[in-house]
Amino acid sequence: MEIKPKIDIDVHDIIKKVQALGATEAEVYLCNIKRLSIEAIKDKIEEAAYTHTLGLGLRVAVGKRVACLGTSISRLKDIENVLKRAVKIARASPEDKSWVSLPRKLDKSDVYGVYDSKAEKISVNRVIGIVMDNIDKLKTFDKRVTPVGASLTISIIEHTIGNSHSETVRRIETSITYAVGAKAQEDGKEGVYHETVYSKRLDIREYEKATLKSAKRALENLNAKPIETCKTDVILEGKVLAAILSSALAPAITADNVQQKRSPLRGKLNSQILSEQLTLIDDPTRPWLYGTKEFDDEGVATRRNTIISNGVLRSYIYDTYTALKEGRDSTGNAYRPSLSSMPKPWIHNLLVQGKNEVKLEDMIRDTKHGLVISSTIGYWLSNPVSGYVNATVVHGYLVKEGEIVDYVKGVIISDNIYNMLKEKIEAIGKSEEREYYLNVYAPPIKIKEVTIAGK
Amino acid sequence: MELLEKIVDYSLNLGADYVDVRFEEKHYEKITVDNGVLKEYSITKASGLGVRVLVDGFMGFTSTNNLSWGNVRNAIQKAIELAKALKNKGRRFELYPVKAVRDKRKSPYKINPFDIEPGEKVKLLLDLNKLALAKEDIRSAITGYGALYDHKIYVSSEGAHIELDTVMTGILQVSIACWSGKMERVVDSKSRIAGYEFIKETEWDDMVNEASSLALEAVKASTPPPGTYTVILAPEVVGLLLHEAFGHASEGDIVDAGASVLAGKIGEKVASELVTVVDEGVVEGGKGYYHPYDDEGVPKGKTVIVENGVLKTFLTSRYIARRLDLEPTGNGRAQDYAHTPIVRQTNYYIMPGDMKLEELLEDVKYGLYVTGKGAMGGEVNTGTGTFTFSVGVSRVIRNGELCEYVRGVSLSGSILETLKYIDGVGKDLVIRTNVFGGCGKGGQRVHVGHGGPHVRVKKIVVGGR
Repeated sequence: MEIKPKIDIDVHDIIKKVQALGATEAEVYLCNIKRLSIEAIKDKIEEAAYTHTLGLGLRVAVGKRVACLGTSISRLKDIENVLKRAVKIARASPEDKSWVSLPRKLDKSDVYGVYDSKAEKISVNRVIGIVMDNIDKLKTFDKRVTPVGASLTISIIEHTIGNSHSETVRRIETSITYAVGAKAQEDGKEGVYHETVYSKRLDIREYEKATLKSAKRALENLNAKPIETCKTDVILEGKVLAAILSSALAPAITADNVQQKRSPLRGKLNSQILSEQLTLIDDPTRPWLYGTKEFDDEGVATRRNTIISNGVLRSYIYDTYTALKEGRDSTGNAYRPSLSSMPKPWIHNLLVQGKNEVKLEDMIRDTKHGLVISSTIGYWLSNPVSGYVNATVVHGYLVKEGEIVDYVKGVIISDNIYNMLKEKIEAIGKSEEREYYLNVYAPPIKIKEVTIAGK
Repeated sequence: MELLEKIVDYSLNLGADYVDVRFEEKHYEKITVDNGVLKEYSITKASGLGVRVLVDGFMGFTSTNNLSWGNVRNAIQKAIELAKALKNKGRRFELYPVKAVRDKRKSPYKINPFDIEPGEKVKLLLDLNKLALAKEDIRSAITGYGALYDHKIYVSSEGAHIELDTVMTGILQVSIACWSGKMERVVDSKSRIAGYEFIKETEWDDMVNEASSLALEAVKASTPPPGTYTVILAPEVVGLLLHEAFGHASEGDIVDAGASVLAGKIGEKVASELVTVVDEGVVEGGKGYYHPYDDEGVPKGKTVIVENGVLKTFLTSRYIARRLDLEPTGNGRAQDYAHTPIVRQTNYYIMPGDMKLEELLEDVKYGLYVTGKGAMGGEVNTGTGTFTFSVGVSRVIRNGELCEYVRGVSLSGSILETLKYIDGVGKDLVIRTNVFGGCGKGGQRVHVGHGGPHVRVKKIVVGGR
């Protein structure tokens, strides 16, 4: 498949046009996406799809009145219509007294590991082959295991951003998602397990690992059941900790939530909010991770930011708007949920590091009674305003006297994230054992006395 | 649109056995006022088309938003190339035969929300936001407006031609209370398949005041001890529970993939006999989402999924109907033109029973009355049958009386058990839809509706703190 996005739209031409209509500042964000997706359901491929979308996001200011519009571009006249409408809406909006300006300087940081040319050049037949190889691995793993499905989606995305103060920045990135599901059946019992691999490059070995893991855990899930309601030690696998941090903690470190008094971390800069064993760094410059990039969604160069150092809150994350509100520089964390959205601060790659790292197997060995939690649903229901964490375990292990003795599902873990990660940490896993959920990368962690709601 | 017919002809000439084309133009307006300041005024317009072809029974799909003929022609060629690449490796994509329909439908509305001056909408939100912040200890408030216009044309080589226009509007309130160092938030919204008249005719002050009052109750409340409880679920929670815990497992594609605990259970008892569950495309008064036809041109009527506790059918698309040997139920839905239809719920709800809320409460010695304001949603693992969801501010029930508020409640259970534990169904049916969000599955998000009456469940796991 040859995917060569090329946009023949002049960003500064659009900016000039919108300024002629009365805008005092203008920002143009072009996003050109080409995507190939091959999906097998059970043991055969059902769908081969190729999509192409070209979209434009526009932010205009008339003085301190600001509006955002987004449009997919089907015809060039779509752009003209959007410009007029944007200026009209901006004029009708009340002044935002906190508005200072769009970013003054757009730039790229020195980052590699954003674009994988192999992913661009791969043929449709090769993608089909990768998916079918993994389906075959599930079919031959164990006679109780059957594939639920597997899919591989390759996207090539071109981002172009320019504004009325600065030159245009541009990058092409690849984004690849592999998803797999396995099912096990025996004596009327069933177990299912899903894994997803996100990356900026093709990594066939990672897909195989995910496939084999889903088969193994589907088998384990055959005999999983809830345990009694209790308080016990809990070991969260990296993926689970990452997912919880993404929902319960990451929103609390964004400057907009802090400024709008929606973050429990407001006023806590330079104070101890987590255990001194924990350090959290947002690092968009580390190659090949999910959120690796040279500039953020308003064209500001990205950089590595230490958010929490040995448990002490060192910095919030800012986009230009929230930064200028405090008279400081953006941390390069602007994120646009959609083309028409106002940018807001969000993490790129949040990396969790521990002190005195302990191997996962040693954590288990040192547990008298506890749960290893390897997969949850509903973690995104955790509440970043109060810090409450709730997640339902769909795959876990019961540990007694340092040994895994049973499989667990269907219990809820609930606690407050600051409570769990401050006083109650028993051990933190090795960096090499880090797993990820989207753009959060975390090692396993052992926490004492977590409430488990069960039978 | 002549272009769509031209695409059909061109595809057939290139060797497709079947082709359908979906054109869509969607406008979404979102206005957000945050703590007295207009935070976002955005309009998104998305338009383009998707082409699905079958070649020797294999399916290829492409989408593009560049509508020049040269580009569209390339897209068709690519779809055919993809379908051919699946030969000998893929599964044949057979579609259940249906009658080709030609129709044009518009959801009813009086005032086009996109004709209203931006200033008027902003002022309404600023006023409501101010009201929300007026209560002491309300630390932060977000008030949002959403309006959707969705224009779709479906054309197939079988002769179908359906045009569908949908208009939806709504207002959202988030109130965050801070008390004694603790914070809690309550989210509420109302949406309707209607034009701006819905915004004009609704008493938004009441919704906003209630959200702020509840947030104040919630922040002072404690969390209930974890364990197993008898609960009475308010209608909005019933909808959420049903959609997550049962609805997804009844989607035929999940059944076909072997990932639903309901597979093979048609004709079996899966719920208490008090329970009848339906999925209906268009519900009265615009309270649910508008879905007279699905994205494969199949009419969506009222599908009975569970009748008096017995599983009757699964939701299907044309392909899944063929795979499962069931009738097509009109549930093949795509997020937009750039996605292929998969099986989705439309308006999924429990039919009302005959009990009053007081009667449901009467027999409960100790339990929880669970409401949805502040609920964040839920998730299910359809394969293991485990579901979980976070509900809103709730109240303890003691000896049939509603007592103190509790917060931070999440419910969890097993699909096959929970509906069997229902031992009381109210008569007060409420169905809701939401212009601000929808249900995600397989990377696609669609608007849905759900609901039910008050329902009592004998046993459900409650995670407190």
